[in-house]
Amino acid sequence: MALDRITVENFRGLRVFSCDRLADITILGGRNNCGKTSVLEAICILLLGNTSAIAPRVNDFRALPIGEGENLPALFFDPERDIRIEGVFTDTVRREVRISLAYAEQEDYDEAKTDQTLSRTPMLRQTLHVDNNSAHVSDVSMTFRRKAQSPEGAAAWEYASTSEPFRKYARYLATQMPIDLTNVEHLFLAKADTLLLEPLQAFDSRIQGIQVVGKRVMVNLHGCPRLLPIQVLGDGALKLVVVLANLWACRNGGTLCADELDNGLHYSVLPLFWRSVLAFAKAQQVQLIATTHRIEMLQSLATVLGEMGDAPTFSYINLMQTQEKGDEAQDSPNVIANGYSKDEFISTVNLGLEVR
Amino acid sequence: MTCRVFVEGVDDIRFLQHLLKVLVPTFPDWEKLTTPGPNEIKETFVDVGGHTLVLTATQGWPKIGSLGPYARTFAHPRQQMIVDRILILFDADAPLTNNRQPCADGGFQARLAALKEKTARFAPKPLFFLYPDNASDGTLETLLEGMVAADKRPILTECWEHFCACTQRHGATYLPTPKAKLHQYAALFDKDAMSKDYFCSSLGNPELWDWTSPVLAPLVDFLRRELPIF
Repeated sequence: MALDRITVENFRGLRVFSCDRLADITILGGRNNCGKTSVLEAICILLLGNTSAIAPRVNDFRALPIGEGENLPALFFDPERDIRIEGVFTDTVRREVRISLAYAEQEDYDEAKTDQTLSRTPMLRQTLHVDNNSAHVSDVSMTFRRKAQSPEGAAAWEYASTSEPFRKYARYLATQMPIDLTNVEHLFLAKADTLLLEPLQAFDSRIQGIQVVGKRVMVNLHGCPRLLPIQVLGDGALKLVVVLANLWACRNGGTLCADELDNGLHYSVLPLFWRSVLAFAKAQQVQLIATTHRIEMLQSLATVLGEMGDAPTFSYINLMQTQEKGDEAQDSPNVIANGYSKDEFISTVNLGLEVR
Repeated sequence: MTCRVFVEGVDDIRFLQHLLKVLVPTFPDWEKLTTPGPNEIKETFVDVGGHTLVLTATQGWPKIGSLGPYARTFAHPRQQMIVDRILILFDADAPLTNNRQPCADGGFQARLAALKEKTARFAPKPLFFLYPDNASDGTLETLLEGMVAADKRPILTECWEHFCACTQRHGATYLPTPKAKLHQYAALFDKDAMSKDYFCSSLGNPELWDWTSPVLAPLVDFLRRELPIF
């Protein structure tokens, strides 16, 4: 069940953003600060909205510590209003997450002083609604907040979740995240490692095999008498491994959101990278939503899409900020989604026109 | 306001720039445009009166159908903006070409219907003007023929028709295209005019072209009504 449409309100730099052309493979483009990463984060919150921890976690993706909650207002375009993220899946299921910012007031006790002061700690309230063909199914209300801090106790998070009406697995690969090989290990434990080896050998013919030894992922390189940690491979090969392993982790209907998918990849391997990723995503039934800045990435994608007879459905979305014209209405979009179908994307890129 | 104007070729861009220069004295002079490759789309942008015009040559009309998302925005290293208005200035053509070959969707009504179908998903909705006058069959060259200086019109009527009849008597199979006819006309007075860019610069020669000709009236009315720069 793929996400077809999304509307985001009051999240990060997005006052209102709406896109109705998401596909099995969706690439987001656009200038810096136009909101690509925010859209990916919003999709993650929507997909993983049955866990209240995800909204504060997206701050972590940007190296903003969850900590005391002081970074929670950074999730909001306007902290006085709710975040609303709504998605429609395969034209049948509508899911909506609402998040509001509230403040827990508590007395700070100080023995040295006779008077007590009130401190305000930001917290989030999150509500999830799921409708099926407009018939209301259930909703889950969650409050994500920080417990009142006792003099000796550390801060602890608490939340309540009543049910999980619609589970959808998703993973997020942030630009600044360190390489996480956990999913590669899982792939081996499930004896699905051959899925990984073939594309990796096409990427670098010296790779003879991969195996997990203890908790370490090792690679067998031609001419090398011993196994080496997979981290010795270049960034491009590691990128392919991590992307494929995360696609596998989202298999059978999940979604992988990947920021700046092109990092570390040399232009000459891009067609191979796309062939592997598109075929893998299709075989594992995973929706991939990714961002990129590089024209070579788009040109090679256009070539590979043109070659593949049974390519997954595709959409390229160019995000663009609307011009500032003074005071704008709260409900007017400040970022637009300019969507290209597969054919429009291929012909426009092949004409050498700028789509970014 | 940003306005994208789709035209068919580089000649069309030059023609439009000349006309706008006549109508709007502050309209900037054009810079040299290189000749596009067979599968290349040329565009030039002009800032005038606080508005931006993006003149885009699609190298023929059929490509327009795949350019919807591209048309909606304008990305340039200097500026990036959302297009507020789209104008499409193409040839109406005729059901048969100059050499009597069938022309796909040729003729004002058929071409307009085909263009509307191809651009049904465009946003904003495009506004159309089909050469020569947004009512008849023909091309930009039909319009240009009507702009030939009055004292030189016999060249295109008597001389040219005699030339064509004579070549056919001697076995010539194909008539020169209307574009070749006009290039040849300009070259009679400027040896460089057979070159594409020189032909375009010859459009500024008042001894060859009459920019006050009444044949321009429908186009001028359309531009005055739809272009924000007036």
